Amino acid sequence: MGDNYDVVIIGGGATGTGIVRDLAMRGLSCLLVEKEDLATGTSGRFHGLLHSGARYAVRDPHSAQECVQENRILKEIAANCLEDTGGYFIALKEDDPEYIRVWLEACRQVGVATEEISPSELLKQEPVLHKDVTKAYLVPDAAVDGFTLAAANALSAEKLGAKVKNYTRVVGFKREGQRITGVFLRNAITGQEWEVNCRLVINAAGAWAGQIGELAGVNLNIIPDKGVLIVFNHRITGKVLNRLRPPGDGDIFVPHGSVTIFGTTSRATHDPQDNQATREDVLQLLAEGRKMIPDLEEMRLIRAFAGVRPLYQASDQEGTGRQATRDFSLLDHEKLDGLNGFISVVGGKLTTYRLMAQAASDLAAQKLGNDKPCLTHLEPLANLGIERDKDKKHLCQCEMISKGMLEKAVKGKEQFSLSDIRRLTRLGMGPCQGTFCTYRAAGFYHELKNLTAQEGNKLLKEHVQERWKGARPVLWGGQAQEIEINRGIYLSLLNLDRLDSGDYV
Amino acid sequence: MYDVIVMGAGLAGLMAAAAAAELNKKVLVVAKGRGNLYSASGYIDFLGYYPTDCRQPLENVVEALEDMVNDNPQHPYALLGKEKVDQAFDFFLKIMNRAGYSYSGSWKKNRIYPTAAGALAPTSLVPQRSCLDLASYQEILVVGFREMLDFYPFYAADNLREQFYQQGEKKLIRAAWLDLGLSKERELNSYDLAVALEDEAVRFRLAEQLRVKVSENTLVILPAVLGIRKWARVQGDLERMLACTFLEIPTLPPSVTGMRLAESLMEYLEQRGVEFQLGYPVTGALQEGKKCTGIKIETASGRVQVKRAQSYVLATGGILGGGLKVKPGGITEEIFQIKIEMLQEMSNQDFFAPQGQPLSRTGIRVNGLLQPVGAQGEPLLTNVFAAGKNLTGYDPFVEKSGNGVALVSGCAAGWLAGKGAL
Ligand SMILES: Cc1cc2nc3c(=O)[nH]c(=O)nc-3n(C[C@H](O)[C@H](O)[C@H](O)COP(=O)(O)OP(=O)(O)OC[C@H]3O[C@@H](n4cnc5c(N)ncnc54)[C@H](O)[C@@H]3O)c2cc1C
Ligand SMILES: Cc1cc2nc3c(=O)[nH]c(=O)nc-3n(C[C@H](O)[C@H](O)[C@H](O)COP(=O)(O)OP(=O)(O)OC[C@H]3O[C@@H](n4cnc5c(N)ncnc54)[C@H](O)[C@@H]3O)c2cc1C
Repeated sequence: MGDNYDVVIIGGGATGTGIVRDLAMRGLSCLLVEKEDLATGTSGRFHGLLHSGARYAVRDPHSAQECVQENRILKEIAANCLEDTGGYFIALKEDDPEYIRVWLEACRQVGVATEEISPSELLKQEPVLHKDVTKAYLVPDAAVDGFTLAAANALSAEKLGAKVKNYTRVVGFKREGQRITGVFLRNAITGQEWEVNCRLVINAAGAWAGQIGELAGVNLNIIPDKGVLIVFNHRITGKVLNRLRPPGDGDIFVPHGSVTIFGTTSRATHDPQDNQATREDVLQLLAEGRKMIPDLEEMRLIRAFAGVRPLYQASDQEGTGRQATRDFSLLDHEKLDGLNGFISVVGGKLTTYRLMAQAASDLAAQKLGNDKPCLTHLEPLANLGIERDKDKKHLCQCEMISKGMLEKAVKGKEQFSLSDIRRLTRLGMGPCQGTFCTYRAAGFYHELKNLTAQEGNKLLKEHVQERWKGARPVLWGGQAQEIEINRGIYLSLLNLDRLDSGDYV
Repeated sequence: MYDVIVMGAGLAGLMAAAAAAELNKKVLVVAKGRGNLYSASGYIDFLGYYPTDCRQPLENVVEALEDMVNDNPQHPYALLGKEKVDQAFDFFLKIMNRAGYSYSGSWKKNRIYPTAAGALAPTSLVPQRSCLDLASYQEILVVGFREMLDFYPFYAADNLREQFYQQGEKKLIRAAWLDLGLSKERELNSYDLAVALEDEAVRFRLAEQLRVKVSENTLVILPAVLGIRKWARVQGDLERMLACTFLEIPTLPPSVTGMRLAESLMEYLEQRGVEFQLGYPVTGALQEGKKCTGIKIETASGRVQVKRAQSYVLATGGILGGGLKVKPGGITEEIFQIKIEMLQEMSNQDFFAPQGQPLSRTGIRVNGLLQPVGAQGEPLLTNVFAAGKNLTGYDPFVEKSGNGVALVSGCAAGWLAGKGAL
């Protein structure tokens, strides 16, 4: 038996949470399920750039145009989730001057606003840049936070009655002949299983969409493509920095909160879960980045991580990696595979998540006989309510997080890890990477949520372990020293390694 | 011209200076910053767990030390041997007594103390004032301060209760928050609080808040905040006012207990005629063959000053203390340009892996005379003796031996350098 919904959405990334908000605004009853926490997939493991469209203008004008539109909309409706930094495109001596002309023309065509600024003026504003900058342009790039974006979309939907369940994995489909009639679910923590019924399922599982397709018995050609990103302990530049050349590896710097994210790479992988960065990836990126910022290798790296792009190939003839389209695809499996009650939306970019959600929701609404229009571009997202407060006692000093913020971030959560809290608040994301605040947050939550000693220890150890994963590929310079302090605190001072906490890895 | 120049003012460097001064040598300590004692606890852990995959604190430390000579001959303790360990510990106890900040305990027997997470952890020497037997207290009150975010009494109490319970001991363990009303503006760390408690009025407030919660049988466990220089006064007053026992435990840096140790030791050394030049890095060395003939110190004006001695102690703290620099291409000791063997893999996937982390184990290879050696075991330098976290062969964090190795190898390096400077 089980509950009944109009629509079940699989995947709690930007796309899935965008869809649940859209459909809830149209009055449909929805359930979104996410196997981990919101935005733990690619939407939390990306570069954090709200594209202006400039990067894709030459090769992918359609995609670029979508970025232009969505960039404007998101600056209106998701202002709390982004920082409108603006961005530069810079060309170096070695870059092809012909490409600059082509690029400028392409930007004009798709409607990306560009404004030239002289290299000397640029160097005055961003003195760390290479002296050999030949041309520079300002574009409306911005920094976007995937975690709070997904959370705000989900909250907007919940306020309209939708259900959002994290740590809930789809393990199978209910079918009647050629129609999907529901899903089988499993709680990722307790292992408990149950089922729900619905009229339609939307597969928004990103790089995992192929696996979901397989469960439903349809073939979806997703090519997971891994990209590595590295994080520096400060804001290297005030604005986003792009290299003015055909898109390649290691050519974008995005300032984020107190840090900078630089990347990325592009490599085919088989496993959407493959998010480990390696030392080699990091060295390769540094070698590229040094061309734009000569002192890059002297700067303090704090972690490296990877995400997997959900590139979609309709046929084998299309390109892979950087050649594959960044456009998204909406797949109606009734038309494609004769399977009713199932649609997929794949590919794309975080910047265009709302548009993807709109397209998927339009199709869903039409199938379900709902004629309400999409309104998601008009109404601001719900406010998460965990903004900075006046309390100057900061549990996380790097990111200035008070107890009050931590209290709000955990509201209504039965099962949570410090990583879940980190995604909502930036706890432990700053220069010290949790060296101090992990212990503090565990001690704080232990008391607030009446946890047992073991649960408190688990909270603590799990987060120390998670931060360690990111530090491993960048164990040199200041970070090597920081890790030693970290070990001093957690092993010598606290003797945590000998304290029982069940499994934490 | 000095007899001995010690580079580094951590526990290893300070012990080296003390050992050389004890031989009546003219000693200079040069350091770019404060040592790790300002972050680490002031407890001296000799060897808590060995082999490192054991979960229970080591009972028979002497036997473990003998095993170590066979299984891990590169371990600083194995290189130096039991006799040097004995001498170094005796020496430390003696000079701390003279310095007016006595320690008690022995390296041969682990004592069990609570950590700020409420784990029961082994250690060897503790400041005299913290010397007590947990087993003799049935009633414990764990206390935290609202203005301080670095200690969580309820969390520590829960773990303590659980730990004692597992050992079949039932104790009454409670927790409480106090609010001294000190700062609403920003969080205070243990140093701020320790300074505040040197003020009698603040101490009085603490006593008033505690009075209703304790009896004379209560052991009050609190973060180490009971005064910096006036520690004897602060704790003495409180114990008099409340007639109960206090146990300070080290929490997140800065470390008040470590600070007391470092500062009493430095004061003592100054009285013994040891000179200090603090705040400036040693940037290089002059060498004739395998002999160091001088070190270069960068002064405030950017000028380079050369200082000379017969022998040198290199106690610059390894990766942790800044003496070893890790770059993507390799690890180097920066003063003598000693190349450290690069490990294939610098890390284990599991942060808490019982075998430790290669990164933490990395350091300078030395012989039994603490001289840095090359790949074939040949000494690279004859009058330079390395000590402390600079040495390879041990991960202090899993085996709980950081200050112990610093103490023993520091002392030994000071003696060797002093004797070499006859
Ligand atoms: C390295 C890198 C950098 C990028 N940089 C940018 C950028 O700067 N700007 C930009 O606009 N785009 C960028 N992108 C692209 C962008 O991040 C992605 O296109 C976007 O985040 C995809 O969102 P999504 O919601 O479709 O997928 P995801 O965020 O991956 O969401 C899918 C979710 O489905 C869940 N799921 C999977 N299987 C199941 C199951 N069985 N049951 C329940 N849930 C399941 C997953 O856990 C996951 O959370 C980047 C991508 C990468 C890899
Ligand atoms: C947070 C933390 C907690 C710990 N807790 C404990 C504990 O509870 N018990 C325990 O036994 N151990 C503990 N340890 C480990 C222990 O503190 C260290 O192993 C020990 O202090 C190392 O001492 P050291 O003298 O070798 O190095 P350090 O104390 O690091 O001293 C190095 C000195 O060298 C100086 N220096 C470096 N480079 C130069 C240069 N180029 N020129 C001049 N000077 C230079 C530094 O400024 C410093 O003065 C802890 C460690 C940490 C990080």
